[in-house]
Amino acid sequence: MLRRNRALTPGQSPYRVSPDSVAVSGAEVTARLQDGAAAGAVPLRLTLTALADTTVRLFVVEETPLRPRYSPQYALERPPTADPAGFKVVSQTAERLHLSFGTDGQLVLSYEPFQLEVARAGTTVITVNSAGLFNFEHYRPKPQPKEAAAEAEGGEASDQEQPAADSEQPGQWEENFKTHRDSKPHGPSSVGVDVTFPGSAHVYGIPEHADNFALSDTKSGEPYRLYNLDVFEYEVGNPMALYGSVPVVLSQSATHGAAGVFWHNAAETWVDVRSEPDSGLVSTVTSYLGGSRAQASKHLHWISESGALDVFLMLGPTAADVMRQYKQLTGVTQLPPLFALGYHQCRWNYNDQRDVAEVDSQLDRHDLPFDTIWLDIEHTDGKRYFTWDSHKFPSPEEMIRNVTSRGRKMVTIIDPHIKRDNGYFVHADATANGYYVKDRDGNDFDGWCWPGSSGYLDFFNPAVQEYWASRFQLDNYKGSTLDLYTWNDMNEPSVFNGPEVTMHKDAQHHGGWEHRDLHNEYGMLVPMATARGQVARSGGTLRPFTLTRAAFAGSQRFGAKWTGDNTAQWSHLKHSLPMLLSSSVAGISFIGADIGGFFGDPDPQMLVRWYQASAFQPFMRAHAHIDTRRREPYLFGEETTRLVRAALRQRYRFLPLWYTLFYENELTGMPPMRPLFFSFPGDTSVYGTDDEYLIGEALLVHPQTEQDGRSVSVYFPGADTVWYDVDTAERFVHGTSTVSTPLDKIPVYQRSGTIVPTKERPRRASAHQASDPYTLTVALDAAWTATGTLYTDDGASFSYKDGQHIYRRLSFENNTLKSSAISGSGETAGWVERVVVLGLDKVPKSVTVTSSGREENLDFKYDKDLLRLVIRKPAVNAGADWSIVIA
Amino acid sequence: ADLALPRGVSMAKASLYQAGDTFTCLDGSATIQFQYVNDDYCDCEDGSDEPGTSACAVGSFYCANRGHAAAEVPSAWVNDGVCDCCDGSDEYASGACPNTCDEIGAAARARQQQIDEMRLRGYEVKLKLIEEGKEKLAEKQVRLAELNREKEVAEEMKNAREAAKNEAEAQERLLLDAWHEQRRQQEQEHEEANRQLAEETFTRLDVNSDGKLTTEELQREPKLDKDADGVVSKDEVDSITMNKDELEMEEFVVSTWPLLKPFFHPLHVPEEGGQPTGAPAAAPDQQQQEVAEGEELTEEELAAGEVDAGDLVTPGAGTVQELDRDEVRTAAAKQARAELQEAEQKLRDIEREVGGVESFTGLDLGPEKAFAALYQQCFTLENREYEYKLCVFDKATQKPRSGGVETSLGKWDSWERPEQTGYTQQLYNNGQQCWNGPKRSAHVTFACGEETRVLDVTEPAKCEYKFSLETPAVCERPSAEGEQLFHDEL
Repeated sequence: MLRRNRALTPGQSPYRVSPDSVAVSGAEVTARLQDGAAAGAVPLRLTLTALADTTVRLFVVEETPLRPRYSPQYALERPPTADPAGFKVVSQTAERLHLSFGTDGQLVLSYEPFQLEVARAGTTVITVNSAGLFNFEHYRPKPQPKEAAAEAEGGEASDQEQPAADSEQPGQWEENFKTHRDSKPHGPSSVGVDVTFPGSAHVYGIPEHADNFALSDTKSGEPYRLYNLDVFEYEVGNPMALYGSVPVVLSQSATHGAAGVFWHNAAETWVDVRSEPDSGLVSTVTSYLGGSRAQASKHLHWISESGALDVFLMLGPTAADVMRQYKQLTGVTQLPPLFALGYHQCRWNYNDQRDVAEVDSQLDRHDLPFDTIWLDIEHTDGKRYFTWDSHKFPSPEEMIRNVTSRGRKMVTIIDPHIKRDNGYFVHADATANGYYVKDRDGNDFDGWCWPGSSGYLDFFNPAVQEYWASRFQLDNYKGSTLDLYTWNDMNEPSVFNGPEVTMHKDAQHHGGWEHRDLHNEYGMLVPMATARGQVARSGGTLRPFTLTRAAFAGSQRFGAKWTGDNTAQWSHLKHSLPMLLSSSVAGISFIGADIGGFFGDPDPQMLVRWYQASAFQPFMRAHAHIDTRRREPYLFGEETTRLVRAALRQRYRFLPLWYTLFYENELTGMPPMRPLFFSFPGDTSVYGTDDEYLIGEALLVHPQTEQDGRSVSVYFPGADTVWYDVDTAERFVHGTSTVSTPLDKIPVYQRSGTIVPTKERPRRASAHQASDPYTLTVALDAAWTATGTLYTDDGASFSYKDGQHIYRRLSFENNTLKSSAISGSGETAGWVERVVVLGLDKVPKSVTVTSSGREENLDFKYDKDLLRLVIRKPAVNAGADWSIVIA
Repeated sequence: ADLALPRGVSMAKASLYQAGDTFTCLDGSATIQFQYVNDDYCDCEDGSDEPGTSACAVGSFYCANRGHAAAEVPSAWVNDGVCDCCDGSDEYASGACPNTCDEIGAAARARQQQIDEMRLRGYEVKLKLIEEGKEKLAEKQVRLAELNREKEVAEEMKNAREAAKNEAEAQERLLLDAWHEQRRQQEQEHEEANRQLAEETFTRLDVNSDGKLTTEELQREPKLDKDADGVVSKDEVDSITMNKDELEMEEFVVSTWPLLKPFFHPLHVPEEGGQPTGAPAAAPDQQQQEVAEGEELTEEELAAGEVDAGDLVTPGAGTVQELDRDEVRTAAAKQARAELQEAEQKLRDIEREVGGVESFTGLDLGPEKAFAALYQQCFTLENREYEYKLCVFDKATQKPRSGGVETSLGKWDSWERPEQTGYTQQLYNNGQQCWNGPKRSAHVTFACGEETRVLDVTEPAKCEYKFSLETPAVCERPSAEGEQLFHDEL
């Protein structure tokens, strides 16, 4: 199907809209679409919907399909909300329909050939089928072999439909891959179309690939592939499919702003990316709306093996708008429990309870803060998930209690493949209730994974979701406690003896769907059901935490994801940045890469640099393959321990910022880790940047990812912006500076005009910071103003959703720093112990704090070289209204 | 004085925290108002102004723990919700930690007493071990001296026998040389006779006596009628002349005669499929070749008896030649060689034993050579799957309990950082290669115990093992006071 679709030549599309079929009703347009060139072409039904927040949905299926087309069932958080104002007809002719919608949206549907153009505020931001690559392989009866056809009465079968010329191509009705056969009982069914961002030279997203952040042109090589796979020792700089597939792109253009496209399809998908130079096809076909004669443009050709053609066009106009528009479709990462943002200590495997106790106490003894210890597959009884190896882990609850007694948590791995052992309760239940995915012959699918012969639970069956969720009840999961959380691995699904190490495409799922229809969606359902189970076991009170390897659009709602089995190589450390950025802009914002690289043995320098980079990335976990040497950070001598300790302390120091950003992510869809253009869209020089990034709006991070790297070239964006080194308060202005990076240096800078909350006491784990005081660092901009936010709550429960939280705006203007409520009626023991003002170029005479009637002069220290004022102990509650005046 | 002491300050530092108007950071970095001491804000770079709070990242908190042992914990552990001091003083904000020092102290004292007693007993055993080790070493020294004497004797013996062997072989060499000469002459005679026969045949066949043999002339010789059809065909001749139309004498003798000869001496021609049965006269060339080879053997090889019959036997030929020569060798020389070998073996045995003893006496056996008594002693531990074995200063192994072969987990390598670990850790490495991994290795840790035994074996990383042993060999004499847990400034 890739070959067939890629072979199409750009030009006039044969697909036409029948003008008399076009009907506009409220927020919906329907029309008949047909291939005008093929005799007897099957008519298609096209639906356009205006959705709230300037988003348009294009949906195409057969008018009377032989077989229903699959639509992902779980990617959308809820049915999308139609724009209540609906479409308004601007003009309707025999050639086209021109509509307006929302505040400033416009849409033009051209009939012959079929084309779609959407604009915002007079600027065309997306066109569909302007290159004429729309292709819809409608379902068709399977051609009889010649002899059989001749024998068939009246030869009706052969007359019934004249198949398109290409339907005789090999591989459409059956295909062999290595030793595997795909029976393709329903024949060719692919859908494809081109989508163009006029005026754009940069598109991002469609994770997961170990490639640059800005997508590369693929015309000379393979397209980007989206097909969740368990890849052994993947290579970097490659469009090959990896563990996750999120079919959403974001375009950023200085002239056309930001826009996004969400390709709502869970089948195997390919995306060809091409840059159109000036005066390409696009500029001639998309001129209708005017004012948008495209300069260069980005052109994406989407192809999926099956399913409906279903595209959401998100019109921006800023990256933040697109993130919000996408959030409204697929949802957002829920605020994680605070511990999940701390440092996670993992390995395949901590061998037994004593090993766990040893690592726990060694980390403590070496004063290395951490929040969890993880157990990989070897903790189970023969890879039977929800069980324990009774020799190595004879008393898991005691083990967990020991770890949690110092405020920490544990995580065990729970995979979706189930050992086919009649004595294993999950297998017995699954067999008795028909909970497994079926093979093409209708038998329980039998694949090879860690336990050997395994069944795969069919999470598309709601009863299986319920069953799975119920497994996490403390009574069902013996040896678990409320402090034990879950890691879902191998959920692509990984099938060792399957084609490309995954499930056969003709395997059968609940609802009569083939695996090919929903492959990319399978993995998402595992953490979905897991999180549901975790919430249920606490009576709905505690937030869940899951980690997943496979992902699809919407996976962000259920927990964290990591980038899978990377390798202890500098190139993998370097590529973790673009990989995490790609994931972030595709909504998967709670994302991290294994510290140290999963495969291989990092040397201490690489390990240190990896900890440093990871300390400033959303999900921070060290992990290692069972064949690697032990690499707990205290094993490499005092110097390495000291360097890792310093990196971990930075993590914990900035946790208040991370926590605030994750809360705001829940509100807005804005990922905590962001590309520079999110905050500096006017600076095209940062559109390709992926060796540095922002945390929220305040911090700029440029990790050292080169072996023996003595310095990095940091680009400081923002013409009027000053950046302050968070370690030294050294000032940097717009432009590129070479910053030296001795082994203990992590180049991180605070932007002028921002206020960042930190907690400076180096506690053992996040839980111990609960009552700790805050330091607020106010970096003044040229106008002597700055703003920031601070969020906190109990760190664990859902009560924050009922207002039991503190969310405050911090602002500095007119020489006054103020804290005022945005929302929440929670309480905190946290108070403000220190205010640091950067960029203050005069010696203050006095500093006065005012809070609930108290007015008090404060001590302060002023450093005129650093232009830094440190205000001593305002001692105001972090949840209260207060102000500090600098005179 | 006790009451005035700021929280978290030990008596030893009391004088540095005398109440007054100001306090100077202990590193001298700043002087602050005294009321800023323990006010939960860090003013001193060294953290010295906040001994009783968590305000300073670098500070420490002193807990007296009366009834147990005083301790200093990092400032960050103060009021973090975890009970770190048994007197609960580190969690004063919540008061959630009860004072358990009496209980813990009593238990610790009891445990300490047990440990001290065990250590004492262990230490006493160690003293015996040291004695044993000394004896073992002394025995080895004695043995070494003995061996050195034996070695001298053996060397003398070897030298004498070497001389005797050389003497006997010199005699034998004369006989061998003579025998070789005789063989050589015989060969020469054979060769000459053969040439004469060839020349006679040439002359006879050269009917026109022009000094050249032509095909026609050869066709006249009925013995060349291989297929016995009564005619000597051109092909039959060509197969002998290698398609040459005419041959001169020298070419005939060298190239043609060897092929022609069997037709004139059919008795010596191997029958079809038959083996040469003895046929001594049939293989003069072969014999010649063998002798030639034989002569190339060096005297040393002959002298060392390293040339055995097999070296000279070629396929199809008997060992007649060799047997002949062996007969020539003298019984005296054979015996001399055997005796030398015996003397050399003996010397080697002694040297090997010396090597063994010296690798022991040369070992770093720890303070007072306490580990001497454990040298090459083996200790085992069984768990669910394996029997683990450590042979001290030798090797570490594992063997599946279900049967199967023993796997080397490492061979003795070295003490690990003895100056830091006080001779309690050893490395055994270069064990069997792991599939998809490194060569196996084992880190061995010794702790004080009354007897030497393996307490535990783990594999923290794949193919890296950790043996924990206890042994009296590392027991230190318990301090006379036996109260290091309870020292207090008071």
